[in-house]
Amino acid sequence: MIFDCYTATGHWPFRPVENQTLPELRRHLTALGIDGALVASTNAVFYIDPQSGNEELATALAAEKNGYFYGCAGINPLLPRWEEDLRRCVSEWNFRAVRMTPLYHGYDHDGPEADALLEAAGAMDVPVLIPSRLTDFRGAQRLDVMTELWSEPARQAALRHPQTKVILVDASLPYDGEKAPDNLYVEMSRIACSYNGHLPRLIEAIGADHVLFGSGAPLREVEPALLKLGFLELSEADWQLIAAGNAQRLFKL
Amino acid sequence: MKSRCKVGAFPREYATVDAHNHVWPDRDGRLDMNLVNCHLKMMPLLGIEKMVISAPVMTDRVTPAEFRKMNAMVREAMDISDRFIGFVFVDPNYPDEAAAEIEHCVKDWGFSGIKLYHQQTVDDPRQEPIMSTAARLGIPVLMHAGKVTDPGTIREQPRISNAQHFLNALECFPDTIFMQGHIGGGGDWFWNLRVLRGIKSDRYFIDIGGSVCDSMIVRKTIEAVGIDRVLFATDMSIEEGVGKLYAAKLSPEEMKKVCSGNWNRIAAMKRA
Repeated sequence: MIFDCYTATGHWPFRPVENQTLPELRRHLTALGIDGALVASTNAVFYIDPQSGNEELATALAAEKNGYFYGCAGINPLLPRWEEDLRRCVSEWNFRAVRMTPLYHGYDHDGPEADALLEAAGAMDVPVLIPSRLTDFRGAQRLDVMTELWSEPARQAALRHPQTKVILVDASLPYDGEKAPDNLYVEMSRIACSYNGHLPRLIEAIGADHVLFGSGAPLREVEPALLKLGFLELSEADWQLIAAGNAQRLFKL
Repeated sequence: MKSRCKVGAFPREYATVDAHNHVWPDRDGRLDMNLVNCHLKMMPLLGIEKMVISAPVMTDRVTPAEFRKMNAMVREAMDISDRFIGFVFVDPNYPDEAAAEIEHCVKDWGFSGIKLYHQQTVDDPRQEPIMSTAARLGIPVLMHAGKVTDPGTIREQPRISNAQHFLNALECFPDTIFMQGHIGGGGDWFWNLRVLRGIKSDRYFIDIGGSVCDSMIVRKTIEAVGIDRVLFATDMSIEEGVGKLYAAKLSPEEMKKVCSGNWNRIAAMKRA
């Protein structure tokens, strides 16, 4: 089984993207042998009120009725009553994770708002995805974000909130395993594998139980991530953890 | 070893050539053998037969002593395996030394092309000695490229070439073969393809390398420049290169052109 922990639905404002509805995305991923996915709302990044994007996602998930997708909430902790948004996403709509996008929502990744969100998610035992970026900033349209978080903010977040499971997403720079706290997990799609063996070294350093398969679909092609997963030289048990087992455990699938 | 996923190695009949990759020095300034071994392990795994390698330096100026040292390192890798195809790196700010180094590397060491970085744009008049040498030897010029939009990268690479520079270069240097580096190397690839749309030159090629694997990037590239001008490449982003080419869902005939056919046409022009 393969579970993709890094997908999104909805319109990306700066370029056309195929497979952005849930039925299209499911067909796309299924054709490539992916058996399920965590999906976040791209609209929840760009709407002035992200909860409208979460609500659209909840409606689309309810219409799917096949259990392929699990929701990931986009929460902006700068907004009043964001805690109610989080509760509704998790308790009412059964979303399994939260995605923090401080560069897009305009707060400091290590400020009080970020800490409040990390704390609240931890208290609800909901993992927090922290993407280093959503797209490559070197070719960004002028209204888009022109930088990325890199890896260290996610590590720092995990250190400040040891009760919260933090998942670093869409990052290229692997950690020194000795410095990675136990509550920090890494999504693997952007980490070099054959080139200089960064991904195998990361797995050795932080353990196969701390790495998750993700693709970045539909903004990115899925095949590169599948190749990295497909050729990992691991025992069947460790390979299964990365392919799906860790996601099943973290997202309570 | 076979892939455990639905996506795997290129079929052997594609005889795939990675038209843009690198070797680098290790901490002691010698050829990084760990990277060489990674390349040699990866290539059969992913169905890549040959790999173009070079060792450019990314500073504003690179002295002849520096670029000679880097080219010697490339030659060392070529001696280790005939899977490696060497490209000679030079800095156009040293025109005489650059032209001599190209002659030496091609004639004495069997290099097959020239690699340029952002020391000058590809259409700059200072490139003339390099371009005329390339034309005389019948070898291509692979230029680092991108239409970068973020202030940080613009500051770091003020003379990076974009598609318009290549169109200018095709006019300024009418006998030289150009390879535009990595459409997925970071930058506004839509802008580059807008400039290139409908290009007719048979001396222009573009490679798909780079870490950017935005959806539809390879298909859009082929739509813009034509299947006969697109080269498979990774530029260190190995799975990204292989994966995004698969994602373009080309016919086997189209795959053969991109994987090796177009490169073979370039290689056949070598006169040295």
